[in-house]
Amino acid sequence: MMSRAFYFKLTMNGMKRRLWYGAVVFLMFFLTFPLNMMLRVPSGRELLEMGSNLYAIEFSRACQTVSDIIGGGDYLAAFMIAAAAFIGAWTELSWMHSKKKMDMMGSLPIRREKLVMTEFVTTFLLFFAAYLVNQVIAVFIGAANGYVTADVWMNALKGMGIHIVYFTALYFCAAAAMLMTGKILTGILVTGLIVSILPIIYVIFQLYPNIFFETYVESTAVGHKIMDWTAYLSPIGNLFYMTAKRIEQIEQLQEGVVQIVSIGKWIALAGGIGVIAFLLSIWMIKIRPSEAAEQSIAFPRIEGALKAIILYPAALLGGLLFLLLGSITSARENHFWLWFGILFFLVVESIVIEVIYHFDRKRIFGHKIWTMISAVAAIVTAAFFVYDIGGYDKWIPNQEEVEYGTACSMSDLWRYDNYPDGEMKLRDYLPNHIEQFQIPEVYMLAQNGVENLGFSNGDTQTIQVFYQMKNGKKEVRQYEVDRNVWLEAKKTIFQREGYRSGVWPLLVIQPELVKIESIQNFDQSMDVSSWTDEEMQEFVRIYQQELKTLDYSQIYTRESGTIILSYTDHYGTEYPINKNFTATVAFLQAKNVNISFSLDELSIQNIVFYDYGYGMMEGLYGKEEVKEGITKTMTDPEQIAQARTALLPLDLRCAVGFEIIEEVEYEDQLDVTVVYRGKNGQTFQCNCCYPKGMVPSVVREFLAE
Amino acid sequence: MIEMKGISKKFGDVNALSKVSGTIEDGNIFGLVGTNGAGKSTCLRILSGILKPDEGTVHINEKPVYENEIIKREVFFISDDQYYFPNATPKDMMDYYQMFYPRFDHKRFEDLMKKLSLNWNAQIQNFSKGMKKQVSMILGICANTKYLLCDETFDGLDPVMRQAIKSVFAAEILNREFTPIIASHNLRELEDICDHVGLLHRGDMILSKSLEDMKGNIHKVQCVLSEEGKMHVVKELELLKLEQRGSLSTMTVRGDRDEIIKKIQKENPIFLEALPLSLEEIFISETEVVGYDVKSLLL
Repeated sequence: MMSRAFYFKLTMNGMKRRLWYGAVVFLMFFLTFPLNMMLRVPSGRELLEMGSNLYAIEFSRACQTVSDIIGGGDYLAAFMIAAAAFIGAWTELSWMHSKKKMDMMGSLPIRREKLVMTEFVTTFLLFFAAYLVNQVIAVFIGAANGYVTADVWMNALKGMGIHIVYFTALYFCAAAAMLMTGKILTGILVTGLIVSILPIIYVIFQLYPNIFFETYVESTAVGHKIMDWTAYLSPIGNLFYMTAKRIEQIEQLQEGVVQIVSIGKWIALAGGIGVIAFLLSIWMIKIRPSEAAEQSIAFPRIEGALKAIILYPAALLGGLLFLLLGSITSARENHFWLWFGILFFLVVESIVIEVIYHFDRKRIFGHKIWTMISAVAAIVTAAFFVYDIGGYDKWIPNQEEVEYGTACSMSDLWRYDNYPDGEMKLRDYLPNHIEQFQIPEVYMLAQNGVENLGFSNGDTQTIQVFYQMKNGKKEVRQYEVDRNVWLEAKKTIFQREGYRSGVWPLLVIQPELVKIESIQNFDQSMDVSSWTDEEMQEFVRIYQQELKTLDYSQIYTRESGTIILSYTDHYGTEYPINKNFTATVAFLQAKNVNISFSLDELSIQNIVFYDYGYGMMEGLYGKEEVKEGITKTMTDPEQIAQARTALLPLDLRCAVGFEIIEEVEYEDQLDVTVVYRGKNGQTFQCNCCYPKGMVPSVVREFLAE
Repeated sequence: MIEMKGISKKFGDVNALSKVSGTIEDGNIFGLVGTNGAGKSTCLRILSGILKPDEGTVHINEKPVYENEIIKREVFFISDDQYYFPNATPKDMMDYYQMFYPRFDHKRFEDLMKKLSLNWNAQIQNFSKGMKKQVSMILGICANTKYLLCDETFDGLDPVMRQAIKSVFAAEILNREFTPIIASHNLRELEDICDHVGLLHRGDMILSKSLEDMKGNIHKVQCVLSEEGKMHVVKELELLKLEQRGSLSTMTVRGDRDEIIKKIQKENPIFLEALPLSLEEIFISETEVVGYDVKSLLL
């Protein structure tokens, strides 16, 4: 039994021999901590030079940066931790990949697992020393510039603790890869495989439905957030995701937020991965044959399975690659290239893997059974999506299975606002509050969407349908429904208070908390700066009341202005205003804010047309002559009088503008900018459009001149 | 004592060792002989605990070797191409091995390095091949282990050095419990050092005997006899081999030397002389008996 003194001596001896690693890691963390600190954090003098107005903000930002760098909230640090762990494991365990070294180390009177553990301790101590010294230097640099906060040392300690967990986890992942293989190159490749295979497979299972399922919705709060899943499926993904959360946490701590985001789950997950990798490594070291040195894979029995694991996603990705290349050259999606790509990658990858395994041309078609298994799996998987074997697109749930169901247009879903749970986009808020938005029309809309599958006459509206199932799951589908069907449905949908206040959270905010950012009218911003707080609150109260009670068709008209309101420290949100908001308009008029809702009321000086021309320049094969876009300005009052007759204002932001365009199609190859004089004599511009097929002849003639 | 029972080891499709059995008694210098690819290195690696046999057992002092720290402390393995840490000096290697082999004789190491004019503070990577082998031998001897396994270590040494090492071995055997096991494909090299030899061929131990037994039991005799006398001798003696050059007969005979001479003298030979047998000749004779044409196997 070896004594503790022996292990201590062995560790010290190892550290002495691996001083080069210590030097490399020291340099890496010098870049990460002290140098990073000096580059990113302004000195006290630089802060003062910014002026007193910005001092407080910049000081706060600088403190945040300091905390991020030393406290585990820095991506560079995350990268260096991963690099240090991988380099440490690859170099420390490379002796198992050399017969010569194996002869020496294998003959020593020490069990291999003890030797590997001692080597880990050696590497860890070198890493820790480099990390600690540089972190301390960084703290002192921060302190020298005046960024000393009460919890700076605690922050640094937390950051160190976090990084130690990740270093250990990643080290043993790489160690497992080195133990599984017998050559350094394959060890590095298998390390890459371990940290990326699951996210890659996950991404494939996002790409395939995204491409082949017409109704598939990606990256919504329903559970398809790739970043979240990468954190579960890869230790590297976990590290970077945790870093993002840590940055958020540090910011919240600085702001004194009560309920801060938690990172404990991610660290625990990394710890769990580390434990599994550690146990796997210890088990493999015991069973690993010494003669595996200089063979690609240490355990020949797993060659086939490993090959299958690599081939399956490679074939599916290869299919997509060829599909993409094929789509560039042909107007329609060509499934031939998908199948060709899958088979091509299967064959080529199979050969490459066999060459890596044995470098023997007689064995390039080895592991036939495993190759066939992955081929069949890839083809079946692709067929499942291409031919929608599972009936994903046509699926509409039984009403008995659904707790709540709702639908929302894409334009509304892309709306930015300040939602009650802190979300900024409706597409992130709605899926978690389906009960608020529930509507009985959802099944009718879904049915119409299914009927339109594979068929598009262009007169459709993209909507998303959400279901909260009784079993707790959430489902979402995206459909192209007939435009008239959607518009009719909307009239009743928006009559529901829950839906309306869900789309427009302004309706549930206290007027005292609302600020008027601006009132926009044909690009002109109305001046409300002289209003008192009471006047603003009164305005908001009146507006809220009208927004709550008007019919949908009264709220959305072709002739509308925009009010931008804000009720948090963040974004201002746009709301519509038009003639139907009588009380609101009357209030504005009483304040000498005269808002126009019709282009007819504008004093137009000239109209600028940009004609995009016709025809598309073809891609890789052949070119067609393209008429280039032209810009012309109409100044003749008589021509202007004729040209303005069918004009619609286009410069309507987010929610309002999209809704207007829902009602009519417009000539998107012709940009129209109206230049008009405001009541103060200033010149303003307003973007406009013509409904499709309604461009006046005077305009056509003018452009043709 | 080292006991091997039915050891087999396969590398892919290649049978490196096939049910090899044998015993190596303590205090002997054991020579393991065989051609390239015979399995000598594999055998030594199994004995030193580097490789695990697929079948069979290896026991040292009745305890298994593989992953046994206590037993392995009694074994030092010198490979044919010994690994040294990058930029390491002999002193660095001594410090390293000293941790694992508690009886390592630091003073003796220094003395031997001086005697062989090797600078123990110079980087080993700058040594010649022969000097590296010398360092490995010195490390092995100074580790003071009971068993020293040398894989074709002598091959890189000059004749003077070989003699020096042999005398060191002899002294070690006299002074302490020491059993070197030397693998080589060169019989002539092992002849004057080993007192027990095993022959490996294609993973099979086809012969394992003490030299004394082999030499004591086989003799080479040259004589000139009449045809009748020759026929009588052939009948009376256990003839292993008979070569005829003109009237001169060269016989390899198994049996007691005196008795063999007596029987030949009965036939009134014109000429009779007993010649010393080399290890190579003994091997050839012995292995031809078991059906191998060993001439083509040995250098």
